[in-house]
This record gives sequence, C-alpha cells and structure tokens, in this order.
Amino acid sequence: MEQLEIKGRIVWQDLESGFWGIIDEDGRQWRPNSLPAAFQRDGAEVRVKAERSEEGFSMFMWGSPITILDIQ
Amino acid sequence: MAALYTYSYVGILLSTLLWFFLNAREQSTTPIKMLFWSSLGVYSISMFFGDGSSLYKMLIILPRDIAIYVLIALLANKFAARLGSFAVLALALGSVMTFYYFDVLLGTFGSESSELSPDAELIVDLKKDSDPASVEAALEEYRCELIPAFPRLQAARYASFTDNYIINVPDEYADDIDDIIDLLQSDANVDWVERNEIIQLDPDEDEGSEEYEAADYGVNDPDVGKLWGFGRMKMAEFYQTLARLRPRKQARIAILDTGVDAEHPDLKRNYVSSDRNSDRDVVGHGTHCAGIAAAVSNNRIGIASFAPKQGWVEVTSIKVLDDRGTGTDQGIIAGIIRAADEDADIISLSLGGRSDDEKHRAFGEAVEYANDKGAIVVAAAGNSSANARHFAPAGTKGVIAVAAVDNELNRAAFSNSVADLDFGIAAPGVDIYSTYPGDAYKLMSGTSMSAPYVAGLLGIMKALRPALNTADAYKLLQTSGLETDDGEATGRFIQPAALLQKLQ
Repeated sequence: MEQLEIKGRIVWQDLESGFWGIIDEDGRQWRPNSLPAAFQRDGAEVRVKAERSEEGFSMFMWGSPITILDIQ
Repeated sequence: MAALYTYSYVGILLSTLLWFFLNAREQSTTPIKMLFWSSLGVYSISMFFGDGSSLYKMLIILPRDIAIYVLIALLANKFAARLGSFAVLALALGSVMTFYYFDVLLGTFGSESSELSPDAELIVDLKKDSDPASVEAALEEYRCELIPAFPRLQAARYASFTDNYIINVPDEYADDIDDIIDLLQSDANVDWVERNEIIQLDPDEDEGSEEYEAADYGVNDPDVGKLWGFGRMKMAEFYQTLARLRPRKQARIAILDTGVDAEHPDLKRNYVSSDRNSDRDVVGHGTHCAGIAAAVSNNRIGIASFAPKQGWVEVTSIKVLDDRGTGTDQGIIAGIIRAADEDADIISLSLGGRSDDEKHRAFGEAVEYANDKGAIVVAAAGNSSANARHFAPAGTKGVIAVAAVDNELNRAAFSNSVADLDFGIAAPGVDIYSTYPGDAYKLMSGTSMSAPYVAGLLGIMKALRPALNTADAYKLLQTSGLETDDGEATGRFIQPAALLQKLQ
C-alpha cells in the first residue's frame, strides 16, 4: 500500500462527536483513525508516515482517513 | 490608576473653576495654579500608564476630557463675575460629578476590582517554543498550574492560541495575585499576562439569545427552547397547520448510522426495531440523529420533532457504521437496500466520504432501488467545506443533500456546498440539541444534524402524501424554502409551515 509522508498541524474538529485531524502544508485534510495521546494538542506541528485507511466512509465526512505508522 | 486619573481630572476642573472665580475678584490665584498644574501632571501620568491602547486614549478619552474641560472653562469665564450664577454652575457641576460622571471616569480604564474567574484567575501567553513547565516551576511557592487555555480550537488559523494558558490560583493565595503577576511579567518565557475577569452581560442587553418556551410552540416538551431551529422554521405555525390534517399512513424513517439507543425515553414510543444490533449505540451519533428526525413530541420530556403526536412517523435503525463511526461503501449500500426492503419511506444518511464515478455509480444503483421501492434518500452534504459533488452519497444522483446553516442562517464554516447538486437544501446544523444514549441529551454540530431535520420533515410529507417521490418532494422543499445570503452554496432553508400550505 502507498506510504504517505505528511507534514502538517494537528487540529481538533468539534464536529459530529469530535475528532482529531491533520491539515498539511498544502491545506489537505487527513483524519487519523487513531492519534497517539501525546500528539492530541491543537496546533502541534507533526511529521507523519501513514497509509490510507481501508475505511472510506464515516460520520465525520472530513478529510482522508489514514493509519499512522510513525509520528514525530 | 483609574482612581488617580479620576481625582486628577476632577482636580483640573475644580482648580479651573476657582481660578476664574478668584481672578474675577482680583484675588491671589497662586495656590489654585499649583493645584491646576499638579493635577494636570498627575492626569498626564495616569493617562500614559492607564490600561487601554494609545489609539483609544488619543481618539476617545482625551477628546472627551478636553471637550468637557473647554465647556466648563467657557461657562466659568462667562459666569465668574456673577456670584449667584457661578454658584448654580458649581452646584450643577458638583451634582453631575457626584451622581453620574465620577463613575464614568472611574470606569475609563476598567475596574481593577472586577471579579476574576474562580478557576482561571489569570491568562498568560508564553513566547513561542517556551516550556510551560519552567514557568510553573517559577510559581512553585504558589502551587499554580498552567493549563492550555484553548485545548480544542476548531480552526487551524488560530493555532497561535496554543501558547495561551490559564492559571488557577489556589484560594489560599488569592491575595497574592499581584505578586504572581509580577513574577510572570519578569519571566523571560512570558509574552504577556492578564487578569481573567468575569464579564457579565447586562440582562437588558441579552436580547440575542431568543429562548422559547414549549408553550410558544404548542407542545409540552420542556427543552424545545434549546432548539434554535424551531424558531427559524416557524414551528408554531407548522404545528397549528398540521393539527388540522390527518396522516394517510405512518411514515417510516430509517436512520443508517452507528445504531440508535432504542431505550431512550424520548425515542422509545416512536422506535421500531430492525435488528437487535442496531438498537444500541456506543458512539451516540445515530441516537442524536434519530432524535432530530423523530423524537417523541408532547411527552413532557426533552425535545420535540416535526411529528406532534404518534401516528405520523416511526423511526428505525440500521447500523452501518462501527463503534468508531466508520464504515465501508459496501456496508452502507447494503444498508440502503435493506432499509428499502423493510419499507422505509425515508432513508437518512448522516455519513459520507470522498467519492469517484465508480462509487457514485454503486450508490446510485442503491438509491434507484430505494426510489423504486418508494423511499426517498436524504444525505448529509459533508463537513469538508468543499463541493459535495465529490462526496457520496451526498453527490449521488437522486439523493437530497442537506447543507448546514447556523442560527443566523449563514452557511456553517464546515459545510460542503450543494450548489452543483440537483437536490440541495439547507437545514440547522450548528449547536443542535438532541437525544444521546443513557437517557441523555447533547449538543452536536455537523451536516449530520442537518440531514435528519429534512428526513423528519419528509416523513411528515410522506405521511400526508404516501406516493410522493424524490423530485416532487424536493420541489416542495425548494419552492417553500427561504432564500438566504449563502443560499447559492447551501440551497434554500427549509420552511415546514410554508411547505404544508403547498402540500395541502
């Protein structure tokens, strides 16, 4: 599966039941299906290695779902 | 500083009056001149160091003070020679000062005795990349803790606010706040620190929050006042009109979501089970949507929906999203087909994802199947501030896609645009109060909340006219809808009362 390298900023989205997302430098929205607690801080700058998630549909309707492989 | 400013300004006015008075009588004015110049000096210092921007001081406070001073000086000059008139002038000035203007002057730079927030007395902004732990260490003797002030900012453009922290000063150190501020101001990690004052609205000015009572709508559900959409949708008028009509069938609304809490007291009487797995909701999303579409009205608890009493709509659940709120296109398509097979009149989809032609085609076939079985499919437009055409099922042919608006009927910042879709419409989608698992209620925002509003209304329409198809239903929604400033992106805002007039 294609591996993604994302450099961006963590954002909290108070939509639906609420979730964490990443907006990269190009303004693209990414929605990790699980974000480590240490990085759950709005505005935190991160570098992420990720894979696109199989799950394509959700109640969030925001961003592309990803599975994080590594995050700094 | 406010007191210094006030007394020095009063000193200027008083010394000016006396100056003119004594001068007219050719008496020595030396002590008065000293009072005048010393007052002016103190006034200048207090003005310089007082809180507030220089612009505010130069454009508002200074011109105001000068204007009043000139007026009083002119009056004093005019009446200085006449003792009676001068006494009246001094008395009038003294009265105005005592009973009104003194407070105005004291409030010029804000009151230092304002009440501070009990759990967050101070707000501090740290310099970029500063370590809050080192600031905490400096405040160790006061046992103060730095807590992120805005941990869940919605908009990325406000990310700089992550350097803002609140400080909860323990009660036993409440008298040491000035010392704590001094410590923080001398800390190299700190950009600025300020008191977190409680700002109270004058009750007379709090006209923005229109709270309605249940009685205003003719229903007895106590929390109806929390549904801002009811006012915007003219629900009182809607219920009045509906009271004169009889349903030709009980329409079934299927919520395809995370499941629904079947035991919720505000849903139970309207709920029919499809399968046991769908009658539970770990996430709460499906239960919230179900309440918007079909909460039990007139049961003296919680909220109301479009159906004022039983016999109009029933609601069922088909769980197509897992307990994280995610799912697959295959699972959702299977859910649409199943809902149609189980005689759903309305299929409400508060879900979606990015789509391509292939996915649209797959969803399109399911929607066509549901339409053939007599069901109308409604979907949330999506929350990506993008074009809903690139999302499924919102952008799928034959689906009524619902955009979200706020209580001013502006497009919600997150809402996708439905401008390029055949069947786009708008409904409330910000701060929506509805049912939540565990006999609870919760506020949520999203186009997920907008879709079940339209689903609930379509349920009433189907109950009145069972053969209604998607195109005709949308035409009614659209022609009766309210044009808004953002209407091009959101479609018209639903107007149920006006719609009933067209449906009759």
